[in-house]
Amino acid sequence: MRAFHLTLSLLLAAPGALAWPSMIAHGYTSCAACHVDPSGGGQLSAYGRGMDDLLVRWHLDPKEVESGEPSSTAGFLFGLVPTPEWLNPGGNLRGGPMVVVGNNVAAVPLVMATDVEATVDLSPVVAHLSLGFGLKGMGPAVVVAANPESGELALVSRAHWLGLKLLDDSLVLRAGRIPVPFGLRNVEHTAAVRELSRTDLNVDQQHGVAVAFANELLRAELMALFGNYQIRPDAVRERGYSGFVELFVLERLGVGASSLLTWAGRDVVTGVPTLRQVHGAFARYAPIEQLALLVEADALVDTGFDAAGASTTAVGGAGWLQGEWSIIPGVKLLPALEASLHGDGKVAGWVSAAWYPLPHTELRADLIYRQLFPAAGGSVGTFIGLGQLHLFL
Amino acid sequence: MPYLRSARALLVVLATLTLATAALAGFTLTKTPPAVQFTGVGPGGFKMVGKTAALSLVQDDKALTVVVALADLTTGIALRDKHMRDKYLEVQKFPDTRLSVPLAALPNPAAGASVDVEVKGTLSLHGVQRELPVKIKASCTAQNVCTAKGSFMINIKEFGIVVPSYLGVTLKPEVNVEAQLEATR
Repeated sequence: MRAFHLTLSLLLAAPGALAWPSMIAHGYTSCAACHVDPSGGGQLSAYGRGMDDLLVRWHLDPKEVESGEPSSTAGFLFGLVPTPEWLNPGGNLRGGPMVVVGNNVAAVPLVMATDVEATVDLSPVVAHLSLGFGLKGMGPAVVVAANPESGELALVSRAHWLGLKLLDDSLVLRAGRIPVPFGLRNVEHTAAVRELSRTDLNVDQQHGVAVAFANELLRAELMALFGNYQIRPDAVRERGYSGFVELFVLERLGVGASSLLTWAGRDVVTGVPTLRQVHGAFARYAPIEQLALLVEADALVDTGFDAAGASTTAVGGAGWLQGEWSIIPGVKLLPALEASLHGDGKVAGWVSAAWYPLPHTELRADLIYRQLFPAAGGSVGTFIGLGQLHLFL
Repeated sequence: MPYLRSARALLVVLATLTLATAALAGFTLTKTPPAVQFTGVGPGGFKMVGKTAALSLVQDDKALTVVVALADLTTGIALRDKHMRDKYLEVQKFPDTRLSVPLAALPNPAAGASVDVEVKGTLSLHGVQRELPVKIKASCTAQNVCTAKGSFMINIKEFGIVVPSYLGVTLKPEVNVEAQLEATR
């Protein structure tokens, strides 16, 4: 029952971003051309909108893309509202039904994201803001909620930052609430590598300052974490650093390492002072243009301190292996396997499919089987079916 | 009998011509596929790599010319390839690019040795000819199988090629070109 509720609560949060680490299959090693965030994920740039329309969207007639020009509907609000070059408005709406079959059966309609976002690019200065409305489960991203205890009916801001682009955009300095730079920036935010490292794109952004660098040989970002100032009290805020570096050792192969270290006076999960460390490696490889393989393995080291100052260290790990096969342009199959040990153990298999039938539109279905191994013993298997309609404006 | 004498004479002439042609040919590509690659970069780590193996050698008594057919140049995205060929390189009008290096300037490494040189070459691209420095690293085996790697930097604006700019992302005009081949001498 506990595992069932844990699964349900985890899935109530929204996968609220668009990110394709697999774009390395098209020769895109860096992320900055397609995303306003230099390390990828989230709002698309004008170029990203164009590539989304040409490379990701399904076209009934493949000749539609032969001109090389994206459809006029690729722009903001399907191209109905022209915008000046310096202003990039957008939106991110996602929802759908979820069915969980474990000890009980539950069908839950989900409103996962209702964000509006805008990026103002007055190069070299750039500013980004996202604001949304959350029904529930938006935890760390909540700015203010009608019911602060439950976090229901909340105003949500996942990211807001001010940046400075230097060296022909190769170097970007930012300050604000920023996605934590760590590992694969995959959208499956309930994957153990994202959830246990607390580095998902959904709600785990942190306030701090970050420096990102990218050229044709590597990309990297290092962030000083000042804590998430959208949660209270101050003791639960995690302070430290997080960063990654990814080297492009071969064409269509990126190999990276990540490291995170934080301290909180009262950890949000354990409730005791905790030094949290996550260190790991990840890789992206595309043997052919239609297939990308993504892998990440992280070591998790939590050191908790009791009132007497005695410490207890728990060591665990999490791994993720995902294939992304573009069956035909606009239709993807995304199988994945994952395993983790962090107090409880978990193994899971994902079979996911995504279809991009119209501009700005993603239809995605996930079938997930999870076998949980609680630390107290025993095991619980759970089937999860999730359907999503995602509109990004 | 006169018929046989004529035939023998013709064979001698043909054999002589064949040997002469072979001697003039000088370098012959082996079965190891050659590789040509160009790399263009843009803002924020943006990188575009184009590749082809459509390389051939032409040699006369003055220069060795490396000929690269551009129609099969690929960048990993079919649509971008089409764009590159049609809009920027204009392959229909300019189907290949040629780099000529004087024979006298070519490195001639001894068997088992490797040499690094910088020579002047003449590049013909997009209907424009320009002289430019070319770095060459070459080595040969005792069996006269030679491997050569060459590289040079071009500014595509100097060859009348429009600098690719697309939805706010503009490539730098400086493009690095590399080629590798194996040939017998």
